[in-house]
Amino acid sequence: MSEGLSIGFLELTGCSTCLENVLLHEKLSGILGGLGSVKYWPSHGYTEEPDSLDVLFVSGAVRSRGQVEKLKKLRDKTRVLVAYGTCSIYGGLIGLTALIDASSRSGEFLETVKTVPDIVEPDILVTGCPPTRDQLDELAGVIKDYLENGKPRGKVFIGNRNSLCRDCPRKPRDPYRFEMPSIKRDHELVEDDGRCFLEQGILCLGPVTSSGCGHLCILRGRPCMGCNGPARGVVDQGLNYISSIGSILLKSMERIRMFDYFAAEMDKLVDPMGYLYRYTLPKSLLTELALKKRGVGEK
Amino acid sequence: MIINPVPGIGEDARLVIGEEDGRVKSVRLEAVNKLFIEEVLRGRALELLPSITPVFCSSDSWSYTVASVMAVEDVLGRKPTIPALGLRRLGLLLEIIENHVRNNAFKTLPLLGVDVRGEALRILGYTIRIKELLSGRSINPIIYVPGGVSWRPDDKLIGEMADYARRLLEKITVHSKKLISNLKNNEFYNKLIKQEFNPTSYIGVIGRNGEPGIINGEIALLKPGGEVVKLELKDLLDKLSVSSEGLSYWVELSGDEPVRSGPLARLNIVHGYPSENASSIYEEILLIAGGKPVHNPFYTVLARIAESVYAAELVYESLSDTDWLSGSLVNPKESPGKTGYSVVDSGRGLIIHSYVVDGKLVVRDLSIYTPSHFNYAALRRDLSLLTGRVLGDETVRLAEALITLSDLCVSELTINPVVKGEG
Amino acid sequence: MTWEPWLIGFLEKWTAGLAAESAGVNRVRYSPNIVLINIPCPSRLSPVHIVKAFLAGADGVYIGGSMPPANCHYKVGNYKTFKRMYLLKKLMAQFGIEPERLRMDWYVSPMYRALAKNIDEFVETIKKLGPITSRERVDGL
Repeated sequence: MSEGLSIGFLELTGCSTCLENVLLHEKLSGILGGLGSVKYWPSHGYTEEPDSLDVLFVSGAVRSRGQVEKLKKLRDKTRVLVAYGTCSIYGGLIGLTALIDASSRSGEFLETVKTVPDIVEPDILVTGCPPTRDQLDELAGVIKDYLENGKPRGKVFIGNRNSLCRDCPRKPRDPYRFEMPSIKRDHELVEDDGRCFLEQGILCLGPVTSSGCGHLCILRGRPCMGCNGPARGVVDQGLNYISSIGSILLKSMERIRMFDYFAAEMDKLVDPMGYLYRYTLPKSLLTELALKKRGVGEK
Repeated sequence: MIINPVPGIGEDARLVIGEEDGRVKSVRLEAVNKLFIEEVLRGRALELLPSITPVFCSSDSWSYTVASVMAVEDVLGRKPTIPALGLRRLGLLLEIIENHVRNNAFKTLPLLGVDVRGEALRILGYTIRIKELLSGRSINPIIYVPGGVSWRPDDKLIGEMADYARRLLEKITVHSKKLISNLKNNEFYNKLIKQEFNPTSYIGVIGRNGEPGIINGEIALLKPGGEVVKLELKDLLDKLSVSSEGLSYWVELSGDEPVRSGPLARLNIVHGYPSENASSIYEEILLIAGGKPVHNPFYTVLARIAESVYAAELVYESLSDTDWLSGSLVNPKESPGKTGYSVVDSGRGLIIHSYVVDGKLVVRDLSIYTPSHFNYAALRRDLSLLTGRVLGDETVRLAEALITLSDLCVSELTINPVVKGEG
Repeated sequence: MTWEPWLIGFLEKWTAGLAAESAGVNRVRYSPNIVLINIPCPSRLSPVHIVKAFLAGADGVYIGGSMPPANCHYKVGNYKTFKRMYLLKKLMAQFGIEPERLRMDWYVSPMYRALAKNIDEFVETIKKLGPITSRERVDGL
């Protein structure tokens, strides 16, 4: 069935290196027909725009008017549109520029960073920076099913959408006396004792991040940065996270110390925006508010 | 005549060719997309930069992460541990292979009529597999932290990686031999490497014995006349001057020729590659070129081949004997200062990070010089050589090939470097 | 018509809520620009609720809890509220939204005069800050 498939890769703003992993994944590449089926990939020498595409992988965030047009045009020509990678769904690292008004420098830019689902309706969404091997396994199955049996109902999210903490290998000592004893900055973690990062005072975004990645960072001694996007039920990674932190930070000091004591500890968090929205800034409610305040997007 | 997408860059830039009576009047590469990410980096917590700066160019993400980690280390006054240095070097070597294979096979060679994309993908498959075993994800590595690494692979994983490294080395050796003989018989390529190009300066990091230094060595500047100057990083930063045109930015050394960095620069600077297969390719290149320095950018293709083989040999070597992996992972001893600098000679070329922080370790100012900043100035001059040619397919192909050889990343090209070496 | 701010307040029903009721009983006037809602405990307010209130057009959000903090009806609710709102203010500042648009005060039930005074003060603050969205609202309430 892979004969005669035509696949395309569209790189919007972002590094787009993750697109190569599609062809490097044996199962997925086998279903798609490998390099032979590639009909469109401007940065890799396939510059001619085809009349129709079976599968189009889109990576990167939308920053310019030209990209909006291009995306809409290609959506009409494509059977299965895969929004690939965190940048395309939540903005990713590029999304950090969401609050910079680029349109004032050149009319070609949008006023903020948009994502693929803001512009067109994707059929399949794959999060991750980059999407992992296991996610691609699942994606291969979904695409196969799609090509054979037609469009499934609704959008398909690849990867587990539970909170990362749910099956985290690092467990707190006692879930009922779970406490964050301090706020430590990332580089202050020098003696990792293998316990839950929050219990060690490290800001780990596990509680609000979906676990599609398979605990890559946590298994390698690093706290979660939130690259896989919000977990199911999480409205806004940062806001939901500070709600969780509010419950557990210095819990044993509540009713003992005054507010100043807590404020002093929280002041150690010098850059909450950078910590909490590294990958999802354009999708934050606060960004929406800040843009609304500025009058962006009003007719 | 406007060409967009540009091969190797995509739609972030356009190639503008002016025409007069059927002949080329002017050739310009213009950036049309800008990330504005440097404005976001100001005000960020220092420790977050290693995870954010790779956004400049994630086909070079490991180099950016390591460069950023090293600059943060410099601010904090930490010294990296030995396993950390080894794992950093390993990651960067893998990225050099990837970069060279990717750029040759997908960007430059298709324009010369050589299609090795399938083989290249197989090679990339091995490097990406090793990277995944090393850091969990092949892009934006996570294990590098200021003063060390957060994790070390166990013996089983090392064995697995060494196995992939062995297959990678076998594959890449065969591939490069075939590719070189293929190129020797390629008429178009032979015509191209005989063309005259203006001499430029070359800059790179060179190791103690004249091998490519990557993260460990001195900055060497090779003047067009053949004179080699060793530079301290801060002196170099003082000499750099920034120019811009529209959304394109580039740097030049004050009062000097355009300076190139990357594979061609290293080919000219190094005294050789201290490994078996790579040195034989190096000899072969010198034979074709008839001596150094080589100013024709089309030799970049060959330089990339030699260097990718060299890197593959080193990767295999360092994975088959892993004594360096023992010892403590992180060295927490620190004495924070206000500034930090680092330099990494990545596959693409020289990456320089310099940060200025305040008392709370929040970044107040920073400048990041990228390979594209250096190479864009040289590319502008190379492109100007096309003026006066008959505007046809071949000229356009030549212009496109020159762009892919400079290996620009437009998102890099648009960063506006601000901080100088003082402070 | 001139712009009038529109504010929303969440009061803990055991103390600040009672104070608001006392204000009514005692005929103490406070600014009509605020809508007060009694809730059992402000710690149930997630930062998401606050930001959604702003997005719905509130120019300021007011939270009234109990005093002293340790006197919370649910033992530790005040502390949780304080930590969440403190972090939220830090975030708001980074996003370019004035943190002064979010205010917390602490009450015991007889403090109805203080409540009225604080609300009036808060309305004045918001008047100085101006509307949260660039659009002019014709009538706040």
